[in-house]
Amino acid sequence: MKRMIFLFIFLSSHALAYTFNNNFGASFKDNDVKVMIAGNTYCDELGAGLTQGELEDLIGPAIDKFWNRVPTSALRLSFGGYTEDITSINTRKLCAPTDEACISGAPGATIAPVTEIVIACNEREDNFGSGNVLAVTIPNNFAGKDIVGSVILINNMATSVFKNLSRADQIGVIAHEIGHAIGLGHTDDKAAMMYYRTVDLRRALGEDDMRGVSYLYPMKLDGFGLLGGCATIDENKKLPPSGGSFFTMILSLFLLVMIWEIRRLLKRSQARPTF
Amino acid sequence: MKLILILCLNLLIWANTAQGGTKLLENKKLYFNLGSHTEFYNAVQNDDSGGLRKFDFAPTVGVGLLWPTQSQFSFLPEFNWVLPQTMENSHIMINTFMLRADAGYDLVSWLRLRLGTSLMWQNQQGKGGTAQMNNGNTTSNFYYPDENRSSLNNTLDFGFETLFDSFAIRLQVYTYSVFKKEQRQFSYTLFASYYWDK
Repeated sequence: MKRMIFLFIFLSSHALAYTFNNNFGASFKDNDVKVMIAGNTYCDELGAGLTQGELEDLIGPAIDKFWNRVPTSALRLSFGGYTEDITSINTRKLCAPTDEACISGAPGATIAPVTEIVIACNEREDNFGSGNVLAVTIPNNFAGKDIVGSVILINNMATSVFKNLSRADQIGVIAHEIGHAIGLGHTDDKAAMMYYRTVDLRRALGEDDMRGVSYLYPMKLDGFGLLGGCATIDENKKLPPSGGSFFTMILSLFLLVMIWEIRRLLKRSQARPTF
Repeated sequence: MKLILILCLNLLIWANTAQGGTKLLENKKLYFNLGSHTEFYNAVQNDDSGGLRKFDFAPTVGVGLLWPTQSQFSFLPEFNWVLPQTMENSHIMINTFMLRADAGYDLVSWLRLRLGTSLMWQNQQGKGGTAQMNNGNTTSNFYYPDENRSSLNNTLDFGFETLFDSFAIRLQVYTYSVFKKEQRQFSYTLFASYYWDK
């Protein structure tokens, strides 16, 4: 019997190996997060090969086709338009707020902390290392364990290969970077959006992506749950599902009745006369 | 409107249960489930060439109670457990528990239709740790979850069950986010059940 159980568990193995950007599982505090374009960014025809309008057209599908389709996650991304001008967003170095080596290596030339998720094109070589790196992302504004803002930089160097990608791949790149912006790290699973490189065809999130975003973004029960509601409870933080659920109450009663009946049936079965 | 539909579903279940009168105390049967659960049909990419998952082997066991209420109707509460999903080197283990209740209608002697609801409890247990993975042209450290978190979902369910004496084969479908189209997903379980005639 034990062997059977182990065999079942072995056969049901899944590629569950999503990771986070940091060792404290940071995420946005609010589940409604805006994705914006830096108001003063420019994407060179010879660099990323995009206009601002084309960049805007990539964001909608990256959000709606992928990250907003997970019913077990409360995260809701939306396009929030354009930010105010951000000083030298196109040319400055992107550093995590805790990366002192990065900050001291570019005195006075790092991108200022942002709020929400901000996308821009950038041509500074040491942000990317080479033209083959399509984009980089760092949450660059924290409040304790919460992400306040993340910056996504699209490689706008003359050697950038971003411009050679199909539109579907460009959408995939933006979606991958949004994954980093909300707190996820890479995975070894090629089927996952958070795999480190582009794949032949990207049509949906992988299992790792869905599990990861559900882990990071708890949703409180709203109404009766069927309205889209679910709740992820951080058991370490002892957060109960808020709002309660009428269905949950009914189902709990059903369970109690069922346990009672099972007990009664078993007792009756044992009480039968034997021959 | 949404609220009315949900209340109607509840009324259907309760009315079905209540109409049985004294029969509630008779003819109950325990049943045991063995099956395979597929989460989010056709909505999860499972390879690098765009293939979407249509079937998943996730062994599921469960126990339920058949509670006849009147000639063709029955009430069927059950509890199922999708066995732990993990990998030898995985740093995350997932358990899914379903607390469910259906109203059953025997269309013919060998076919039962089910309509009901589930409370899905999905637990993710992170063991922590660090992984060095490719990141652009170099490698970087990434971090596994180290906490224990659970998701609770209510789903609207329907099922078809074919009956052969004490055995049954069932397709049970779970609808997530019924009223939010962009989030709506379907999961299903294929069950083989044994009805224990005490």
